[in-house]
Amino acid sequence: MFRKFLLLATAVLACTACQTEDEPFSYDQVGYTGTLTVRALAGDTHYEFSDRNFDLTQDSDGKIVLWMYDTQFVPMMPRMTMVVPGLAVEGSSPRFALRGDAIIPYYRDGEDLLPMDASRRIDDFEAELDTQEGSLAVTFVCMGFRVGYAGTQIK
Amino acid sequence: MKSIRSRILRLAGGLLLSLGPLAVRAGGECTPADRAIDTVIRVDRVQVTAIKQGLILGDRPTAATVIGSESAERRRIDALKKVSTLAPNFFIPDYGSRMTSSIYVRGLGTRIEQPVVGMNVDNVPVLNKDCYDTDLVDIERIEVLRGPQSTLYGRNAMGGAVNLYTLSPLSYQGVRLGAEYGSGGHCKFRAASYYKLEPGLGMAVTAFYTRTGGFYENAHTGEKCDRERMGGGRMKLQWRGRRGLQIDNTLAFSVLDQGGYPYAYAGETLRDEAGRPIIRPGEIRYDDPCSYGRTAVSDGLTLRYDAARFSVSSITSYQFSDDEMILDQDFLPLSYFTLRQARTSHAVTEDLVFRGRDEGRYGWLLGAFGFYRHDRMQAPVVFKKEGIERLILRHVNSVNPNYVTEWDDDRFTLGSRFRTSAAGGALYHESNLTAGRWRFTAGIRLDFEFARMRYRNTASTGCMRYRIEEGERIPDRHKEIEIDNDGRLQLDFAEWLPEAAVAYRIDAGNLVYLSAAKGYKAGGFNTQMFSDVLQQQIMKEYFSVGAQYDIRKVVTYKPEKSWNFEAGCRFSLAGGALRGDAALFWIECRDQQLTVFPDGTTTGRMMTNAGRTRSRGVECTVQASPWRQLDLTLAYGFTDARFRRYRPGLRDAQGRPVDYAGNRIPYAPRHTLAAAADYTFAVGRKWLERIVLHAGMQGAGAIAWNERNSLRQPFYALLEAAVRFEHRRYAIDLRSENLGGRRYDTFYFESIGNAFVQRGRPRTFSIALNLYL
Repeated sequence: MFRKFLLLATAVLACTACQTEDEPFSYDQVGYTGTLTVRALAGDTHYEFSDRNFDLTQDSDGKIVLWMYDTQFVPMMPRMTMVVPGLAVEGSSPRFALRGDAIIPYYRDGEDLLPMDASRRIDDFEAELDTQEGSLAVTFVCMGFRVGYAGTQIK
Repeated sequence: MKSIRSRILRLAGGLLLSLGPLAVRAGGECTPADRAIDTVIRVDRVQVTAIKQGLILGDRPTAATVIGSESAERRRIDALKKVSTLAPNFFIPDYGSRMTSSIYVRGLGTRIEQPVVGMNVDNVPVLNKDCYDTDLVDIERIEVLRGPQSTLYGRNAMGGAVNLYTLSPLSYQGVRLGAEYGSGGHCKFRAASYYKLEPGLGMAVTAFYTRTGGFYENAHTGEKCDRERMGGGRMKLQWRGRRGLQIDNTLAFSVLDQGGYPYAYAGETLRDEAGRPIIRPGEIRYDDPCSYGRTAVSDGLTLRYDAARFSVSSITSYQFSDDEMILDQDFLPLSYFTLRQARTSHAVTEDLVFRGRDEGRYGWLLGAFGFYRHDRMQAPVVFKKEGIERLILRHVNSVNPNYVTEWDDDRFTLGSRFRTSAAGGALYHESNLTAGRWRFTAGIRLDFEFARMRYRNTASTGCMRYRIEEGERIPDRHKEIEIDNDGRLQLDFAEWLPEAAVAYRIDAGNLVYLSAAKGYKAGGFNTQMFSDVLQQQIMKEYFSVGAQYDIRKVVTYKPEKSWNFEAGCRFSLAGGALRGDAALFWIECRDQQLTVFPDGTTTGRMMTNAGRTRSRGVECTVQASPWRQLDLTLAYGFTDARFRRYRPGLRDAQGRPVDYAGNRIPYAPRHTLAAAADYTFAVGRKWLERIVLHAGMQGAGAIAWNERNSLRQPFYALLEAAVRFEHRRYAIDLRSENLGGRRYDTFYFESIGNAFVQRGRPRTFSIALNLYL
């Protein structure tokens, strides 16, 4: 069921990509919009960033790829696009879980996706999505922060 | 353009020398009435002045300070900045260059773009705020009107209006020569000839040249950075016909070439990687040139016809300015970025005023105003080596140590060109009704404006991204950065501006009033933000870092509006020996333009209509003449101006949004104070008539330097003293300002996270000789 959902989403994405052939990475993708929360693992620092978009796509190996747009961990950090690849799917409709550990994320640099340095590894990645409610919840640890995201699907 | 200005300045100096042989009809005529303390305007019927306020300013329910010709002459008031603090709650800090005319009135003010105080010279509105700071020769009268004057003067008079009137050749004839020399290598020369060609036709020609070596040295170049040369002149024609027709024409020009921007570093010592100091606290040390040059020409034609029951006046003007500002924007001996802003401005204004002439109970005024202004501006920002490293590559290269990007060149240019035009008009009306001792005033103005901008932004540069493998740099990808954006923006505004007042005249010299008036500062385009927009665009499009700015949201700003409520009085006691005025005021201001700091950007700031403020306070002026020889003056203002709402988009250490509500508004002083005593010795000799001793003090503060109120300038007082030898044919003036050598700061700002201040002027001495032939 989840695969059907993603295939449909991928089909939509593919159509969107066709419409923007000149742009290999299009932002106009069906996804989720919500709030990013960041807590420092040491100390009381806590930030919230609203109106952040996340997308889910599927790679050629069938693994799930999470695209995190306009991501920042602290207010002074310029926003960037981070990509979390190689997520495994568990569960059954309508609720699915995405798992991953010790993931090296990618980031966008102009037209390219480049791997982050090993020191920016993502650990304890967990995500739950409900295809019926259209919700996505994500948590992971990266660079000394616990990052959370709660989003609703963009219709 | 600079070499042209130098040639013109030399020409102005030569012109001064050639004015001596001009016809001299009579010695300067200055009656004892002219020397009376200048609170009451003596408006001669031959003068076309005060067209909107009427003949006696003291009758209006407005807080007003008047400085007459004798006060202006004795205090050497030859520029608008010299009026600062002489009117209570009226503050003009002296910093930057003559392009900077930041005026703060009752807590309202602005550092950029549209002003809050309108300036009118001989009834002609000066549209370009960058031209406010110019030398004025032979001022007859200065009126500082506080509180919104928007009903009569329209846009950009939200805080008040300053009316300057120059000497009339129909009330004064003769030749006036002046020479001045003082500290900082300052010298000034002026020459003026006033004469009547016929009984009703007068002509005045004035010229001036001023040169200042400067007070502040740029430690990097070893030269004074606040040097200045300025020259200019004015030709005024006035004709009075027998059938009620009057014509005035004033042509004025000025040319300026100055260094400017003596900003001293105010942070901890900056050091390079080897630990060597780059700049120490208190030093002025920057490596790129800073300068400001301006050529301004204006012509104002006033036609007036006095019919039996009304008068009609037409005030037409053409205003031209061409200026160029060059700025080392980091003010450090490091190559960050520089700006060159060159603007050419043309403007025309027309004001048609109908005014009732009946002396009866009802008085009225009806007017129509229109203007058109067209500007062309180029404002390229050159990013240099340090700027590229620290403002762009630092963000890019911090993401992944396995990749490093290097710029192709050690500099590139963000080019910006603009064409802006604004046109507007207004209809206005004011009525007043006198019923016994009561006088009721009401007015309304409909002000509308259309603003357009065409812009074109360009950048052409490149960089190489390297992949780091086993310590080796391997070329990974070369990026060609090409930007060529153009677009149009437009804004339309319309505003009703009402006012109402009631006054009760206790007797001839005493009056109390209540008033309420709406003020309005026009919206427009903040062109300074375009370099931020371009920088963000490069980061986002080519490095996927940062957030893209919405140009319209970032560059345009809405009008600010205010409501001013005031209770005041004017008094004259002991037969006029004690007189003055006082006022209490409360101002609510909405949509105030403030700086905000959006998250996740690389430039870190933008301007927006984010604020609500309120300002309340009290002000008074007192003039006393306990003896014939002694005149005492005092002007005091207190303003408590604070934000009601201001969320700048910053976070504190715990990540909570910062809120500046309740904080003091920066740059506006809490107190202003001016006090003076003048004692006149009547000598009565043929060669010397009077000796006037002057002692005074001007002060301002405390001034908050930022919105978070973490830094401030405490109240400071500057002592002044002068002795003046007067004769009807000459005056010799010895003067000292900041006699106590008080150290204070006039301005504070931060650039790329570094703090800078401009110090106030040190103790100065000067001597002046004036001849009246």
